[in-house]
Amino acid sequence: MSHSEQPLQGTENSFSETAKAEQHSAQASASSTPLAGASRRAVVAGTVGLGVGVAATLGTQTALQSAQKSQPKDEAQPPLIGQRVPFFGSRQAGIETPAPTYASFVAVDLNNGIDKDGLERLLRILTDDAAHLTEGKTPVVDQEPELAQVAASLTVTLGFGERIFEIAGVKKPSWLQPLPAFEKIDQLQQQWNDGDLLLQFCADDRLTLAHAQRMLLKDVRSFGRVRWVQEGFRRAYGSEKPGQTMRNLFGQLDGTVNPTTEAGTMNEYVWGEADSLTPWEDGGTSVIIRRIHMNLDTWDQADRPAREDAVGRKLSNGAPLTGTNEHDVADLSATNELGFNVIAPYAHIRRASAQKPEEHILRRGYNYDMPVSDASGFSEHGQTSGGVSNSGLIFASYQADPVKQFVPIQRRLAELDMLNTWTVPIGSAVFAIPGGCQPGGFIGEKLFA
Amino acid sequence: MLNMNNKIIAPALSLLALGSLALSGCASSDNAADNSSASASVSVSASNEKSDLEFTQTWVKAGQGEMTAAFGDVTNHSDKAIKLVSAESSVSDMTQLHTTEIDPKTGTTTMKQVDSMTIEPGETFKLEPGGNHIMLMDMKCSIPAGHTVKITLKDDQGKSYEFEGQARDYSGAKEEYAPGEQASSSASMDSQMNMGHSMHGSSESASAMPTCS
Ligand code: HEM
Ligand SMILES: [Cu+2]
Repeated sequence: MSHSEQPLQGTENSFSETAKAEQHSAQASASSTPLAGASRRAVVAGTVGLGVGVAATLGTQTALQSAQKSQPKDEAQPPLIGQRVPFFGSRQAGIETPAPTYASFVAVDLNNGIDKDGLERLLRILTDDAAHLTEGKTPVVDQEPELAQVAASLTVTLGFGERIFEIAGVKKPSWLQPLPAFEKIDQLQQQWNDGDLLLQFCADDRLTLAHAQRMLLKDVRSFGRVRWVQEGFRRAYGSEKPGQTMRNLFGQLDGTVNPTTEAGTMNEYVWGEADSLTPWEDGGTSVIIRRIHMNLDTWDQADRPAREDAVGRKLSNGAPLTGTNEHDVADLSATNELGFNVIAPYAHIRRASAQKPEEHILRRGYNYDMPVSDASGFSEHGQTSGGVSNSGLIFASYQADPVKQFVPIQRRLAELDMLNTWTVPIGSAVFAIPGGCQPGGFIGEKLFA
Repeated sequence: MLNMNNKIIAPALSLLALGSLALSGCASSDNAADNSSASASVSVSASNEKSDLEFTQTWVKAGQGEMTAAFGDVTNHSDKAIKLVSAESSVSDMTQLHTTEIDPKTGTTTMKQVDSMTIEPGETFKLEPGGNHIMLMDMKCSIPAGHTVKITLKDDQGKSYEFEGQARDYSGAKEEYAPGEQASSSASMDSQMNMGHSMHGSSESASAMPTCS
């Protein structure tokens, strides 16, 4: 039997783009296997019609095998088929790894009766299926195996709410609780808040993502229920150069000032290696998911200079108003001829900029644009419905310590930020993200050590 | 085909059951051979007999019924055919080797016990819903999803091969079982395979049977 598999575990967080040439040894199909011995017992599985189904299934299987065998090794491969993000490692994928086109954040509430043993069983099967799917492999009980074959940079990331720690009987990280209320801006809707378990799916192919989500939610079915699902998107794979900063539905480049792997700031702020930070567990971090409604109708009333003034950056290339290129450092002290700050006192980037060394977060958000039907009219300031769009940002922020890193920024923005004119937080959830695992292990295993 | 003394009962299965059987996950094991290193699955190779037989993509249908079944891919790494003749598990009182056959005249699919399963050298033998499987009957306990079930297979030389399968919720494999020659329709009802009987296959809800540990 040939084992041509690349080692699944790449360098930590490395992003494998290598398409693997599948090698299949001849496998006798079950139907052609000699079965000795006459039956002494008969078991009836079905009646007319079933036979056709079984035969059809075998046919599909054969077709699938020959399709794979005839696949050319390198050339003419559609680009996303072999695009895989390693699942195993000391940290979970889906955070530091590049953000693919689609994301689905699913919060689950666990059933009342779930005990520690049940939790472990759930985490084991979620891990097993996630590991297969992200590799472009079929999980054990996949009834649509063909859908699992295009990995398309799929990642599955698990996060824990407070309840997981209660069930496991392990002390939770002190910051793991709902964020304080930001009364001046929040209009939180219960339907987008909190949750016991987070399943974050990201992929460049919407069908791959839908299949992965269904597979894992089938695993969850007997353990809990879905609390909310937030689906988001960015530009499609191939629309932009890899690594380009995403644009949100305001048309802004969103994510310019962010920790990076290259600068080591990802390690410091997301994985808690900075002096003033401590990761809650090895390889662990946290995610805050704020659902932020963006009122595109009132945004339309602002012209370009006002839009740029509100943030302190140019819409064209994201450069600070004090610079020319996107990654020029904003000069917050610069003044114009009249003595006014070039980057206004109320500008989003001034208010959001770090006041303490640890006040940095990884923003890896996704746009949402919900279907509206029978839509008309104009959504007024402060409204979160009406108009012809229901749009916003799934603001996903990753940091070692939400209280030290995120909350001070959000406090300042709630106090003063011109962007609040057009944005309203409507959902909020905090999850602890456990470290990754090695083959044979499972995500969250340290809670059971 | 079936022995004369076999009594076949063809119960009217619901469309749902027909659909789920037909959609069995057999193609799911296409990748299994190169999957073993990649998989976090709990499947293990037979440790007691070197690894003449390798088990991959192994699983057991979770549930609270009196019967369930185990599935997976069994690869013969040795240079001679291995003829499996029996199966055993700590969670069930009766464990059998089963296959599924289609009657070309009626289209009826029957699931029945076989005396042996022969795996040729180099062959990967598939145990899958709607095909060959290890049948667990007279369950002693209910198997919750994620639980690991150990199954031992024996060959005609007396060698045993052990593998583990993770229990999974699965809505297919709802076959009914007609035990023995004297089966009547009521007997078949009594021993209904019942594995996904509760609509959601909920392995976490209360059950009359103790939970396997
Ligand atoms: C819909 C809501 C929001 C929009 C449209 C938005 C948009 C932007 C834009 C356009 C930038 C400048 C480019 C960049 O560096 O990415 C920016 C920067 C930033 N935003 Fe936001 N943002 C939103 C909400 C938030 C929230 C809720 C927080 C945190 C609580 C936040 C924190 C930051 C930070 C830390 C920066 C970088 C500041 C710096 O230059 O040092 N943003 N945001
Ligand atoms: Cu059977």
